Amino acid sequence: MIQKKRQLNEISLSQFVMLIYKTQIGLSVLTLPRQLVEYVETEGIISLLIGYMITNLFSVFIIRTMEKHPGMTIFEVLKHYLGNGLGNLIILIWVFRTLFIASIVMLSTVQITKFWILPNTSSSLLFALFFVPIYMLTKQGIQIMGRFAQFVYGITFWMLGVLFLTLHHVDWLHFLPLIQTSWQSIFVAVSSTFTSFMGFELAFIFYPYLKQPKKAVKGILIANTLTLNILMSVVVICYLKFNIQELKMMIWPTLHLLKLVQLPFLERLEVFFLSFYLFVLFMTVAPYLYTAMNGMQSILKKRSTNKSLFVVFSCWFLIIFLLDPTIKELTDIEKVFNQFDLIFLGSFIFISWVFLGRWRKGLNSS
Amino acid sequence: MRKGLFAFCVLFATVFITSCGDQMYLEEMEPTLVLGVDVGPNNELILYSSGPIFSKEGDIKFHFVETKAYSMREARKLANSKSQGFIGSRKLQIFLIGKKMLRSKNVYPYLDLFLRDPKTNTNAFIIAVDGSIKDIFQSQIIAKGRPGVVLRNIAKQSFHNGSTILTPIYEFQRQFLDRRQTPYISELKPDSKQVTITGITLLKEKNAHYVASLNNRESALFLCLKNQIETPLSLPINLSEPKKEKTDLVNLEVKKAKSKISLQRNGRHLTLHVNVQISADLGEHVEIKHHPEEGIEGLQQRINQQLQIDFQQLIKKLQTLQVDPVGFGRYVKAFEYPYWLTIKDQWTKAFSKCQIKVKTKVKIRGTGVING
Repeated sequence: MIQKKRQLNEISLSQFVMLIYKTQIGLSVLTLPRQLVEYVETEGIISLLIGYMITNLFSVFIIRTMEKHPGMTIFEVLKHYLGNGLGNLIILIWVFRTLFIASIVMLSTVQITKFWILPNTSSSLLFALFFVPIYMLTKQGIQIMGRFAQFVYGITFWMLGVLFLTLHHVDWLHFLPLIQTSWQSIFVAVSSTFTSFMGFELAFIFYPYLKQPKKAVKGILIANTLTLNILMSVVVICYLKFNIQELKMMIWPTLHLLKLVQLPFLERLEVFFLSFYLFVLFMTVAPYLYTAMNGMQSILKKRSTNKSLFVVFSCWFLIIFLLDPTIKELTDIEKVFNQFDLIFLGSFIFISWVFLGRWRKGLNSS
Repeated sequence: MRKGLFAFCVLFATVFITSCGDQMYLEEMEPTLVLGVDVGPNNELILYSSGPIFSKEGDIKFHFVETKAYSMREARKLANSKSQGFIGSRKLQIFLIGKKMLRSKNVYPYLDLFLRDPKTNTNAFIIAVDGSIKDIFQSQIIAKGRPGVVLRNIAKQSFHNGSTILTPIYEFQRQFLDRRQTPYISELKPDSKQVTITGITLLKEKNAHYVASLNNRESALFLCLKNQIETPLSLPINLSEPKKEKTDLVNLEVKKAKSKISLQRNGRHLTLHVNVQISADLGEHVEIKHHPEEGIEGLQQRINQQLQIDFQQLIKKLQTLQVDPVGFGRYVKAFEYPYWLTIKDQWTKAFSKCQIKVKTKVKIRGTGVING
C-alpha cells in the first residue's frame, strides 16, 4: 500500500535536489552575515566553508544509512528497529523539531513581510494569505512539493544576480588579514553556518521517493553546493559593502544590501525582492511541516493528515492573533532551540549511521 | 462538495482579503526630496524640507517648510503640521547639512531616523552647505525646476566632472564607523543667484566635525587616489613657472587612473608608497610661447613632475589636518595587522607622522586632432 503510494509520488533527481536546496535557503540568507559578525569578523567565510564540509559529511552519512533500507523513510526504519515505544518517542522529537522550525519560519515570514512591505496591515490577515499556498503544498505531498521547488527555482534564480548589482567601488582589502579574531571564534561561528544549511536532513524522508536512489549522494551534494553558492555570495557581498560595526546593527543585512541598488525604473527593490522571496520561504515551511505531519501519521497510524494540519494552522493563527510575537522574541527562541537541535541532529545522524548504516548489512541482504 | 467549499474559501480569501492598510495616494502625499538641517542661534535644530506639490489648484511647484525642534523626527512631525499632506522621506534625494551644524554637533546620531526606517531612501546624497540653506531655495535654481531634482543633477554632474565625490547616507554611516578612514561629504555654496558645488568637506573621525575643505582641483586628485573616477575626468594642471610669468596650462581628460598603495614598516616608522598611473588625452593646452620642439614626451614629463608635487601637497595637507579620507588605514590594517592593533584608536595621529612617497606615471594617449 505504502509502496504503491510512493511509486505514485516518485520524484526525479532534479526535484530531489531542488527540494533540499529550497528547504535549505530560508531565513538564514537574510540574516547570516549578521549572525556571523556576532562571533567573528570577515573570517566568517572560513566558518561558512567549514560548515559546508560538515554538512556534506553528514549528508553522506544520511544517504549511506538510508541506502541500507530502500523504500523506507527514517520513521519506518525507527519503528522497525526500536518498536512502538522508543521508536515513537524519537519520532515525536522529530515531529517537535520540524514543527518548531516550520513555525519559526512561518511566524518570521509574517513579521518580516509586515515590517518591510506592509507595516499597517495586521499579522493575522497576512497569515490568512500565506496559509493557502502552504496548506496546499503540504497536503499534496512530496511530488508536488518537488515540482513547486523547481518552479520556485525558475522564478527566483535572478535574485542572486540582483545582489551583484551593488558591487561597484568595493574594496577587497576588507578581507585582509585573513584571521582577525581567532580560530576558536571561527569554530564557534560554525554553529550558525551549519544551522544555515539545515534542510539537508529531510533527505531522511525524501530518499525513498527518489526515482534513481543511486544518485542520491550526488543530488544532496549538489543541493549543498547550490546553497553554499547563495550563502557565500550573500556573506561576501555584505562584507564588501558594510563594515563590521554596521553589520552588527542590522537585523537583515541582505535586505539592507538591496536598498542600495538603484534601478532607473524601480525604487525600493527590497520590497520586490522580498515578495518573490516569500515563495522561497514557503518552500522552507512546507517540507518541514510535511515531515512533521508524516511523523504524526506514523505515530497515530492514520492515513489522513487533515486533522493534524488543521490543529497546526489553528495554533499558528491563535499565536499570531493573540501573541503576535516580535522578531526579537522569535530570534531569541530560535537561538536557544538551535543549540539543542544541533546536538540532537548531529548525534542522531551519527548514531544512525554507525548502527544502521555502517554495521548493518541492510534489510534486503540480511 | 468539499472540494467546492475549499475552492470557494480560497477564492474568497484571495479576492477579499487583500491588504489595503498601506495604500498611499499621491495627491495626499508631499514627498520630501530635499531635507536640510542646521542649528539656530539657541543651539536648536532647524529642519528645512522641500518637495514637489501635485495639486492642480496651486501655483507653486514645490513647498518649502522650516521648523525648529530637538530631533529630526520631532522636526518632521512639526513640518507635517505645516504641510497639506504627509511628509515622508522615502523619496529623499538630497540631505543638506549646514556648516554651522557640522562645526558644533555630531551629525551621525541625527541620521538615525533614516537608518532605522526601512522606507527611507538611504541612497540620498549628503551635502554640506557653506552658507545658509534657506538661500538655496531663494536662489535662481528654482527657475530650473524643483530643487530636489536640480540639486541632485548638479551634484551628479559635478561628480562626473571630478569636482566632488558623492556620499550617500549609507556610505556616510560606513565611513563614520570605519576606524581606518575619516568621513567626507560633498560641499555646496549657495549665493543669491546660484548654487555651486565647491568640492569636498572633510570631517573628523570621532565626532564628524568640520575639519577642512578640498577645492575642485584637489577633489579631482582625491578621486584619483580613491580609484573612484568617472571617466573622463577633467584634471587641470598648472605648468607655469612661478618666477617667469608665462601662462602654461594643461587640462587632461583622464581615461584611466589607478592608484596603488603599498607600505613599508621599520619599527614604528611607516612609509606609504603611493603609485598613481594615469592615462589621459590632452584636452587643452594653453601656452603663450609654443615649443614645438619639446614634443609629447617632454610635455608628459613636465606634467608628471607637476602632478607628483600636486599629489604630495594634497597628502601633506591631509596629514597636517590629521584626517585620512583616502583610507590609507585600510592598507595598514590589511598588511600590518599587529602594528595596526597598537594604533587603531589613534590612526589619524599615526597617519600624520607617516612618511609618504608619491610616484606618478602619466601617459598621454591622444592630443586631439592637432599635434603637440
